[in-house]
Amino acid sequence: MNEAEWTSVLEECYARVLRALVGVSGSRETAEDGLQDALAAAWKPGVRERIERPDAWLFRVGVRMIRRGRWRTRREVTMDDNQTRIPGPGLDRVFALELLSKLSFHQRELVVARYFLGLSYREIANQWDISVGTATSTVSHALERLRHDLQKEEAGWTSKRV
Amino acid sequence: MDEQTRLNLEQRLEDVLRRDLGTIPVRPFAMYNRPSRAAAVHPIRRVFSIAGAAAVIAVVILVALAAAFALRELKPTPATVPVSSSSPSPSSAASAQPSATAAVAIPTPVAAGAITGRFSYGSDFLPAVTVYAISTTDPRVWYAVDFPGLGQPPRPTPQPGTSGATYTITGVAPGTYWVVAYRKDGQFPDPGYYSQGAICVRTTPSGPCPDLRPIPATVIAGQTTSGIDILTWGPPPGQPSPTIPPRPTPRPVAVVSTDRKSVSDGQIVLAIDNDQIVEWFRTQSQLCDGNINSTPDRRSFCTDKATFRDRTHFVSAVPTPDGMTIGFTIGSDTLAPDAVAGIYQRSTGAVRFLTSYYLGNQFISFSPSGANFIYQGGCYEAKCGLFIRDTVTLVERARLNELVGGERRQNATFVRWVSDNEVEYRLGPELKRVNF
Repeated sequence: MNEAEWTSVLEECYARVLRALVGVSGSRETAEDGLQDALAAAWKPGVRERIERPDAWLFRVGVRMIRRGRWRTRREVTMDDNQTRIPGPGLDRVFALELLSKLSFHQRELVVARYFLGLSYREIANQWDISVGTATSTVSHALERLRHDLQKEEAGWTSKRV
Repeated sequence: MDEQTRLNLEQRLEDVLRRDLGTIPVRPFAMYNRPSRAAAVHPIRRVFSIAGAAAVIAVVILVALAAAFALRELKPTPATVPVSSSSPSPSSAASAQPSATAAVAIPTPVAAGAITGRFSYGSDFLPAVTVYAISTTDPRVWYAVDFPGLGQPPRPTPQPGTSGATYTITGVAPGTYWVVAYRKDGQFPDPGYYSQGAICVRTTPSGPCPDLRPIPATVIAGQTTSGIDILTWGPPPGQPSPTIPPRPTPRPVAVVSTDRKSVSDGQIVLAIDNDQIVEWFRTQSQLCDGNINSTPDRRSFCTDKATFRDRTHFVSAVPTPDGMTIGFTIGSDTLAPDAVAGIYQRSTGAVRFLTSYYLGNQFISFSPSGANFIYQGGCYEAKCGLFIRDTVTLVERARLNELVGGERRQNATFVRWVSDNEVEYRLGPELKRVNF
């Protein structure tokens, strides 16, 4: 994949992957850092040529960066007050983030990969280097854990619409 | 859980994620300098794009015409007033000359990004450095910020509650950049740079982190790319791949050419007959609408580019410290001594006009780092306002000498920048300061 093709792919999937990482991390800043690190990783010689599905690859690597990182410690470095920063809209009260926060980190990443990025269980298994059975059971356990909240949300949603 | 329940839950979860995550606002990804994309747009989409743009232009023209009719009623006969000198002067040269105070809509700027990170150095001090972001695709494109150093002696003490060991490069065009910090004292190890080691240290604080190859930072339009930490100092052993780019050569200062027809730093940076300047005068200056037959040469000024070039000139030009943005004032013999102030962004080639074309408008100066700039406008009976904007976003930071009852009671003149976020100015006889 040459630079032009890579850029074109990024244009198509950048926002989606970033949103998926926000779903996993619950933080826009953390997600942006993770995605930035994933982009840096993709820059290494020979890496892009091996990527078959860029959105899944960037998401998986971004998640790994977030997971391994000492992000909280890093954030304790106070930034210069004078610098120009453009704050993004807040993520408070986003139901999906509340919902996902009830899952373990691993469950969260697979649930987002499955239901937001639309990866098949086979693709999840390939990306995370796990068996299809493990992917399926992890997502099933997550669904079980979210069952009560999802049913409550559905009831509320339905009654509002009526 | 039975199959039907599971299917319902899956569908519900998918709906919730798409509804909530899918609507989290994020800025689109953009790379620097990709003019070829327009040609790749599907023909049908292009038709819609053109139609949309035409609609927007039509609305802008209608608004401009309405404003023109309203404002020309207020526009007086020009009088002889000294033009400000070619260097931006803090004092106002305007004399008793009424002029309408038209507010001009600033076009949406090309969104630039920023790079920020911290330093780490293997000692109890940090040397003074200049941090460069150098384009991976064109080393002639670079941005820089100075860092004064930290620690003994004699370096600044960080503000309480901060580590002080951070840098931020603003106004960076989207793209990928090597981030390199070159020392100012000529000592070694030099330079420091953003490397694979920075990511490794973040993810594996106890190490080992033997891979010290430089890696690029990706800048997205309108976003700050953080975590670009400069932890690695001195060239890595052997010949690193990719190699660390050399220290960029300082750009020559851009000045107005002797014939006042261009801004030049050895090569022409901005010509007076730049298409965007010509177009602005034709459509926004009010010189070419209802007044096109007001003087014998007005029509040729408005329709013939050579005549336009002949009768229009730069009054002043002021570059930012990094030379990437230039503030300018333009006047025309067609209606002198009125002028318009604007800025030119070299990274995008965009010309942005800040004022209308009236007497007293002038670009004054950039703040010490170039983060903000101040210009004079909205003059009426020799009483002018001062406006401060962010160089990158063009967001207004401060407006000095507000209108009272639709007019200004006193004149405001710029005195000096106290810092990037504070100016000293004179309001009537009074010397004042404003922080923003």
